[in-house]
This record gives sequence, structure tokens and C-alpha cells, in this order.
Amino acid sequence: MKYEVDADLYEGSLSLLVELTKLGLIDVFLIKLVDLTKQYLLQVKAEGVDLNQLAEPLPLLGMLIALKARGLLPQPTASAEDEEVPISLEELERRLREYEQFKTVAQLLAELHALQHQHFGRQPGDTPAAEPAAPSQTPLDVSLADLMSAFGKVLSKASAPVYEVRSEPWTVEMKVQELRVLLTVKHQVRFLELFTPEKSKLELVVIFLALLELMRQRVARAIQEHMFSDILITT
Amino acid sequence: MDETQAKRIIEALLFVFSQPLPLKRVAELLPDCASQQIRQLVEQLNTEYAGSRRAFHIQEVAGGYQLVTDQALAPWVKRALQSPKPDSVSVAALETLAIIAYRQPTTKAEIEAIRGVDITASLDTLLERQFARIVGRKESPGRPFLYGTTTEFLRHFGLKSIEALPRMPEPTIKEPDAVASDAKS
Repeated sequence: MKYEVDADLYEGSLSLLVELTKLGLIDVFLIKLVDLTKQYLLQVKAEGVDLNQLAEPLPLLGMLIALKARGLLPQPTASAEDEEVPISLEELERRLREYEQFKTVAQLLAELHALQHQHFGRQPGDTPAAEPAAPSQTPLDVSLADLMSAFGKVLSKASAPVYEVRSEPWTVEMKVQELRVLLTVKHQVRFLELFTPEKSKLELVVIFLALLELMRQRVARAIQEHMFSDILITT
Repeated sequence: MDETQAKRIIEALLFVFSQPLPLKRVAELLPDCASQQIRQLVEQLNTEYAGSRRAFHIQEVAGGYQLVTDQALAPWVKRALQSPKPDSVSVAALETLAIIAYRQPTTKAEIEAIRGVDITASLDTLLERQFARIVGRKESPGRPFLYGTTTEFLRHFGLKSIEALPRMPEPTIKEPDAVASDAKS
């Protein structure tokens, strides 16, 4: 979002203002932060604003406040800060240029994104026949994130109450062994079958760790037959 | 098989699929046609569509072919689909995404070094929207995750492949000496 600033001294985008101030081309003490804040609050109160976009100027406004605050501090603090950041000017320039390049391509990407969203393909979901037929031959790989979220669901359903733990009733080694046996016998087992809600959270966690260990050792694999289907654990 | 029939088959396949259909898959279904020939047939189809002012054309995106509607018809289609806004991506997320796209595989620390801010939130957004994913770990202390872009990214940005990204522009910041001395004073 282009966040425009309209002040006596300066009119234009907020990001440029911050850059100029950082470089010392605009005296931060001439900018009335109260006015900027008021302008921003007006936008916040305006209706139908996108919260994500609304948040964008915040770091910039914060930066201005930080710059002004730093200017108010006595000199010694400034020299202490110089020691903290021993970056050479060349390095600083290089970084600035690098960042500027990425800002430009980010803008290009935004344009590509907007352009692509002028084209509409077939809406997903209205071609049920096409979807499962194709991927069933090559099972989809399930990522760690998918496993974690599936496990999150299981964990939220765990119903057994919490007891005081005396000894270690379950160890990862034990569960690894159990899973190995289970997989040898059944060859394939549904992810959800491994985690019945009657088990306590601790046991579920230990089983999950054991499962991850087996996957790490490439003994077990997590697959899906097609999108949104149950996760299967297989050898 | 004659060309007309092959073209009709391609058209039928693309009509049915809601995801970009890779050239390889089309070739599997049309064993008589070489990949090169399928490319030509797709081009012919597009020429025909353009010639008769059809409402759609075949787009090559994310390593596959897809039937999409014409840009000029976007307002009507949008209204029909009742999509309130073109699920826009924030500037912060786009900057992070740009760095991932051009520097992949790259780590969170490397991106933060360039952007100069914490990117946890924007990275989460990108992972959630599946524009980026973890592609591995870097063999350096701490073995941090490496991030890369996805086919979903290509699809949403209308790119054939990662090579189709726009070229990195030359830096425009000039006279760094003047800027630097100003900054110091």
C-alpha cells in the first residue's frame, strides 16, 4: 500500500520520508510526529480498510519515532552505537543497493500477481473426476508441516485425564519397536489409527516422536493417496 | 491420429483440469505426438481462439498448460465468483518472497540481513499460502532451514518456470559517497 504523508515540509510516500530522514537529508526535528500519527489514526478509523495493509506503515512510523528519540539523546550514546555496529560504509552501500534491487523486483512481482489474477482458470472442486484419477498413481509426499498439523488435531482430541507420572511408562525406543512390528505385520497403517484418543497426551507425543524417528531412518514413509485424503504410514 | 483429433483431445484435457497440466502428462495421453508437436498444436489452438475472439486461451504456467479466461473479461468473472478482493499480498511478504525467489535456496537469517527486519510473520504468510516451502537444511552451524518457491508461486504469478522470473534490475542508487557523508554528519 502506498501510504502518503501530507505535512508542511514534505508530501509523498512514507517510506521515502523515512529513507531521507535516515540519510540525514531531512531533519527529523522538523517533522511533527503528532500530525503523522493523527493522519494514521484517521486511516485506522476509516471503514473497510485491510488490516494487513494498515499494519505496513507501522514499522516506518516507529522508525521515525526511534530516529527522533535517538536525536534527543546526548552525544555519548551515539558513539557507543557506532561501536556496536562496525559496518563499513562500503558494506552499508552494498546492502542498501541490494535491498533496493529486491524492492524493485518485489514491485514487479506485485504487478505479475495482479495481472495473473485477471485470468481465471477452472475453479477447483468442480471437476471431481479429473483430480483423484491422476495423482493416485504417484502418492503425494506429506511434509513435516502436514504431519504436525495432523498431529495437532489428534492431540486436541486426546481425552484421557492428566495423571502424575511415576516412571517413564513409554519411551521412544519402545514405541519405535512397536511401530516397527506393526508396520512389518500390516505394511500400511492409517496415521489416525496410531493415535487413538483414549491414550494420554504423553503417550501420543512419544508415538509421534517414534514415528518421526522411523521416518528419519527411512523405515517408514508418510503418503496420501490423493489430496485431502487420510495420511497413510507405510514401509 | 490426425491433427484435428489431437487438438480436440488437448482441448478436452485442458477443459477438464483445474490445475496446470504438464506437457509430459499430455504427451503420455497422446503417445503418437512428440512434445514438440504438442507445443505447436497448443499454439495453433491459441491462434484459433484469438482469431475467433474466444473468451479464453491456453496459458503456459507453472510448468503446465491451463485454460484461462481473457483478461478483458475479468470484471464479469470476478463479479460472478464474488471474490471481494484479489487476495493481495502485502508489500512485506512480497519483498521476502522476492528474496526467496531470486536467492533460493536461502535461509531466514539471510533474508533478514537483506530486509533488515524480522521476517517471521511474512515468512509464515508465504508458507501458509504455499508460495514458499522448506526445501532442506543448510549445512552450517544450527542447520537452519532453507526456503524456496513452489509451483503454487509460479501459478499465482503467471510464470512458466522459475527461469521466467523478470531479470534483476541494476541498482539505481548513485553517488553513494555523497549519501554516505551526509549520513555521517
